[in-house]
Amino acid sequence: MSIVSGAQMTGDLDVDCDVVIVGSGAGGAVMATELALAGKRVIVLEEGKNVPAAEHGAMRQSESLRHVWREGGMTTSLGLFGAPTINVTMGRVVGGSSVVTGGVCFRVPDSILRVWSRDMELADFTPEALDPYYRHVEEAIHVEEVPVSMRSRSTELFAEGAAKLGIPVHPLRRNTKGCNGCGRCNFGCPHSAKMSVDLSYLPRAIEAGATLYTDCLVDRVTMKGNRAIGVEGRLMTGPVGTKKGKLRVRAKRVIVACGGMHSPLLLRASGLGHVGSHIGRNLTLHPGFRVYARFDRPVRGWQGALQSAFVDAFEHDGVTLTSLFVPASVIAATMPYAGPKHAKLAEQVDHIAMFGTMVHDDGGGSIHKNPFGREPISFYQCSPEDHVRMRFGMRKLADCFLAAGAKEVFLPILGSDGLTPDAYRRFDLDRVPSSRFEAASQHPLGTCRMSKYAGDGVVDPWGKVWDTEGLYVTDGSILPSSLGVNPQLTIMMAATRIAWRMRDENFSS
Amino acid sequence: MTQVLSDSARRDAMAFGEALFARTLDQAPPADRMAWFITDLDDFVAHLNVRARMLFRLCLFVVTWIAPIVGGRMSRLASLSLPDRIEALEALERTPLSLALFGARAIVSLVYYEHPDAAREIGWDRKCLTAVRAEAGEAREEATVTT
Ligand SMILES: Cc1cc2nc3c(=O)[nH]c(=O)nc-3n(C[C@H](O)[C@H](O)[C@H](O)COP(=O)(O)OP(=O)(O)OC[C@H]3O[C@@H](n4cnc5c(N)ncnc54)[C@H](O)[C@@H]3O)c2cc1C
Ligand code: SF4
Repeated sequence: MSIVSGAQMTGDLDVDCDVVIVGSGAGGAVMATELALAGKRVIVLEEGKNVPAAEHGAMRQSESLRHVWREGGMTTSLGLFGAPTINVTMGRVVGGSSVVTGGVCFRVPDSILRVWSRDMELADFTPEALDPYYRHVEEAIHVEEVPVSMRSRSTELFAEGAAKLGIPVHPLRRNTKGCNGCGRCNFGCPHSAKMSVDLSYLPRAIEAGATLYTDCLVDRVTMKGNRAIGVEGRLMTGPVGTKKGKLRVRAKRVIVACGGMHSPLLLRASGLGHVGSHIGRNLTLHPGFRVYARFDRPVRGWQGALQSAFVDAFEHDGVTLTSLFVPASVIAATMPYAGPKHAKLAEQVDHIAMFGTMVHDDGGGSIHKNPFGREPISFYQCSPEDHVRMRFGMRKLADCFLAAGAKEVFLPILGSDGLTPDAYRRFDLDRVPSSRFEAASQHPLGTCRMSKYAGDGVVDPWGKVWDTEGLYVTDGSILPSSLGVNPQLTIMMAATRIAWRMRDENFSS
Repeated sequence: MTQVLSDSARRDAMAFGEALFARTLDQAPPADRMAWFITDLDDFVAHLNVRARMLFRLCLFVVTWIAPIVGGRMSRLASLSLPDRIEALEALERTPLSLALFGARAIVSLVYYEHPDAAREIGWDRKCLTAVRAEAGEAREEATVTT
């Protein structure tokens, strides 16, 4: 068995299997591997292409956006009622978004698990009960601590400032093996050092007999009564996925793992989701904000691991601070003005350090079918606390950089110029409407959330869609709430838990 | 790859790029660099789905037609002199429509600054840590496995 390109196939695809998995990202790849290793006949259908490491290395960043990221990285969730409009990024490629991560790996904080296990009555979600699944995934994707020597100068400067303010900075853990700090993680690792699922899981699934079809877009799950019996869709070709032949796969189990923005779309397109259903609701995004700081001396923050350190001291204030870096072209793009004034600021990119804040949001966003095309329409709302958290996180970042000696800080406000230390102290961030914030998200979660009772969510605690048979969701959309930390490890843990239970099931029923 | 941006959209993107990236008020970036930029921008847009393309065109529309109006001129951006175009863009930035300018600027900057000369001008050496350490004669420490 192997990887088959749907774009190269002639005619239609019409096959049978035990399990069909839609989406080859963090959730789908784990399911495929665990079930194929258990002897099930597995087919994985992926909308994106297969992009090997050598091809990542040959691409410029903007070329990677064209070939690996969904919608060229331009997907947005429209902010309602004063919320910021958020740029939501995702991978559309074999390995899904795991291919473009910074590699950061966190377990869910115990405080969140307490809410899940007590308030939401998901009794099995305790640190002890989840530990075996986490450990299994951590070994498979080689989670290791980022050595201090791998930190970029940008991160070092932040850590220096944080130390002066008494804020502890910890090393991050990432899924890497032999990382050389080239800082390209978000555009696919050219050195096969980031253990994304296209490297750590899918090859094992294929070796165990699974077949992965690329360039295959699934349009709907085929239902017979309340039982899922397969999927239908189309093969695609060309840069924007032009329709080719039809695809029809019959299966005893259908696993939807299209990610937080697309799984609810597929369920709805399959006739599920009555009025009042939770499908497509409860979207949380972990809105992220960066603060830049300009230093006198060159920083060249692109040299070093993209993400290497974090601050959890403000977990109870609803923010996590993590190191990050974006290409110099993106920094330049966010500098204000035009012409010579803009050029003067853009020339400072090698003097810029940055750090990010991620908000543990209460959220309340939603996903809707787009009547004019494939990609969903999404809206996002904040709770009053979310607005406070955003500003709190930005202030902490600016404070640390100023303590480290930054000459100016650039807050993530559309069109805003740098602020000198004095100007920053006079600046009233509370008066800036959140809708003017430049926000980004890489973590759409919760849109098919798991629940103890049918009326509270979309899937049961084992990933099965309520009131259906044979239909499961196993990606970021099933997480019961926002985590406050990066989710890939937890998504893979949750998929492992579901797969281990499913592999022992008798598929004749 | 066939051209997907119409001739007029290419002219608008060119006028926008020249104003955004001009390093002096009297001179746009070199013509050969701008030609490379437009060709690559076209390829970028060709890889976008219909919605993302429409979004980019919408942002470009705002920059082309609304920026001059908020800058006090009833004309297409491309018809203005370089200093007037720069002024118009800066005026747009101060309005609630700055999100559209931000969107258009993000895409054109991503492409433009990948030109080697443009990258050099802003000090983007695109070197990785290993290369820098190798130059400095330092060895890389091994990552410690913690799980
Ligand atoms: C830029 C970026 C950086 C990130 N960094 C980190 C990080 O450092 N640490 C971390 O923990 N998390 C990170 N994340 C988030 C993490 O990658 C995701 O949370 C995780 O991969 C989501 O897994 P998933 O299975 O839900 O979806 P994905 O991994 O997104 O997989 C979904 C797959 O389904 C495919 N698909 C969708 N619809 C269909 C359909 N109808 N038919 C066929 N195929 C379909 C998609 O093309 C995609 O490949 C990052 C994400 C991004 C975008
Ligand atoms: S920094 Fe490490 S993991 Fe990231 S792309 Fe470079 S080698 Fe790969």
